[in-house]
Amino acid sequence: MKIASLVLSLVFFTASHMFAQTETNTINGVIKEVKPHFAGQHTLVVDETELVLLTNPKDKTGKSFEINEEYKDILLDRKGTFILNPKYANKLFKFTYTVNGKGWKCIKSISTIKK
Amino acid sequence: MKKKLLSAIAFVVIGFYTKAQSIIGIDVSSYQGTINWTQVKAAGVTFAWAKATEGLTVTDAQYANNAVNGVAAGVYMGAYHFAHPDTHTTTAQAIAEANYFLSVAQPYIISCEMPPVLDYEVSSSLSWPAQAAWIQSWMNTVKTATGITPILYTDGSIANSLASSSLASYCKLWIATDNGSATTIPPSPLPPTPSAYDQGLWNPNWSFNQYSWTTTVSGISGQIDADIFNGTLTDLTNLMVCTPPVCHTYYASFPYSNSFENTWVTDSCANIAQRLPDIYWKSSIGGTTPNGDDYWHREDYTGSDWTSVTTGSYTPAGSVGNHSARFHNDPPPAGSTGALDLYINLSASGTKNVQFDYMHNEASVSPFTFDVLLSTDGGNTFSAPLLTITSAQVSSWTTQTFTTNATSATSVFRFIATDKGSHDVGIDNLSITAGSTTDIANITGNAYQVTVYPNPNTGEFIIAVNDASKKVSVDVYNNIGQFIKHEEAKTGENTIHITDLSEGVYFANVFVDGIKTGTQKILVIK
Repeated sequence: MKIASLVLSLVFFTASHMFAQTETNTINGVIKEVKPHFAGQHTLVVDETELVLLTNPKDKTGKSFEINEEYKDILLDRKGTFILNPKYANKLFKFTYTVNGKGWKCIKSISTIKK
Repeated sequence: MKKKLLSAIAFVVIGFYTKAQSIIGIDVSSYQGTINWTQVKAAGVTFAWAKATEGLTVTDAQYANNAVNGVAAGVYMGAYHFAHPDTHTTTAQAIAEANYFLSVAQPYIISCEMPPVLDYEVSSSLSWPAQAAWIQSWMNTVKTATGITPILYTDGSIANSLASSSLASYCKLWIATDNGSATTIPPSPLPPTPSAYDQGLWNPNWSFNQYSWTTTVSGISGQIDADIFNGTLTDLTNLMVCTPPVCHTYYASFPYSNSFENTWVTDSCANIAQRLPDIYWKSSIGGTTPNGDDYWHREDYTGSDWTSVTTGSYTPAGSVGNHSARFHNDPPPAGSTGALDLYINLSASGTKNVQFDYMHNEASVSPFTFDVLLSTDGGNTFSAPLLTITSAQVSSWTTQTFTTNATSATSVFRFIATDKGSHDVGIDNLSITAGSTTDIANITGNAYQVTVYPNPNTGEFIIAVNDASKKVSVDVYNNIGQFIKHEEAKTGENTIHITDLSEGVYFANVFVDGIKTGTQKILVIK
């Protein structure tokens, strides 16, 4: 019975990870620019790479973002235009992202780089 | 209590009805890698769009696989093009993008296909009327070629900004708005109706809503975009065009070569799969009592319109590579014919050499004809045969050549056969090249006097440049454009010794000090 449970667990684990897993990529860099992206989203230009910061779809104001909690304030709304919060300017960060069907590199999290 | 019970039943019934009406799809590209479409279909996906092209040069690496495997799994498939009005700003360039999309996607646009989509999401410096004209030009071109009105994919901002155009009465809208619904298929709860703002000019008649950019589904690794159709399954199938797409003509660029190695593409004139070597060909049958056996196919074709295909022998299967073009004709209605037509732009001046390998391993068959004809008016009328092969037995692949001085941009070479025998007719290794580079002699090219000798050869030859102080290199390609090898001359030497090429036609790009000086054709005969 225990062996059967173990086998079932393994089968479930394998099946659930074979296709449903999300491949995560990382990049280190400095945010050079913030600009509007398609469909109300925002692009962070990290060195030469354009990363998409998704807005929180459950917040109808469009002013909060799908990002780890400590970086929720990464962009500031200045009369309808979003700019980089100055406290994150010229600093090196590690970005993790996934690529969706449109090829958007959607940021999943931001972290500092330990020296 | 009764009221509560009735309310609960009504809630369940309405909920079930709503769910039954939700037609869910996805859109994918090479970023999703290889997709298990059977699993995708089983997960509840009804329709899908696969990225075909972007701009003027990018073909999605997974498009052909997705187009074929999605249909095979029972998913209603369509193709989309990612527009670049940011860099291709004129309507002429919009038309060029449409033609590029068609050149890739049209062979896969079959009966009962989801309409093609223009993905319009890149910011452009053009005015909004100019952007509307750009979109209209792209759509007109695709509609003319396929008979299907494309769909516009965009967001609320653009949909509103196009308000002064007539696009809403011309095409349907697929609106991108991630509104926070569940990221599963089917979605639970169902995504809300897109806002009036997001529907813009189309309000309230949106057709598709891309409700999530971060959905996961069995059969695909990673996150994908999920879409919902605004209607029933019947509405969706009515939206699809279930009649054969309009036939379209493409002219190949000169020079042209084909050894018939690739899987043949759909004949969009007849909506038959694997009937044409590439989009530049058309196929027809005629004569007395023609039937499906009279169509040309790649020699390993297994479709139902060829019968008794194993009767007689057809070996080797190709003179170069593994495949060839084959006229089957068995059982043989006497006098019926099969024609395979290559549409090509021969407007370049000068003599053109036409060369191909031919095989028909059977003697004294009657009736039998094999001719190559030329049309200079897009196939309306044809010349007397430029080349005729009699019923004499040709038991192995044998090279045939002829020349023409035609300069028509709408030229058509017709390879046409009649055969009553049990051994089929084949052609392979076709090349149409400039006479000056196909002469069977040493080649001298450009300012540096590039010399190739001997030519033809048996697989070993030398490329020489008359200046040993220059760095000389060569890239060799086969006649279907596949890279074969790169060689460089040693410092201080001006010759490159190439060995071990198998029989066939090759093209060598010669570089002097890193600058391409020209392309030389090389003929290897073993």
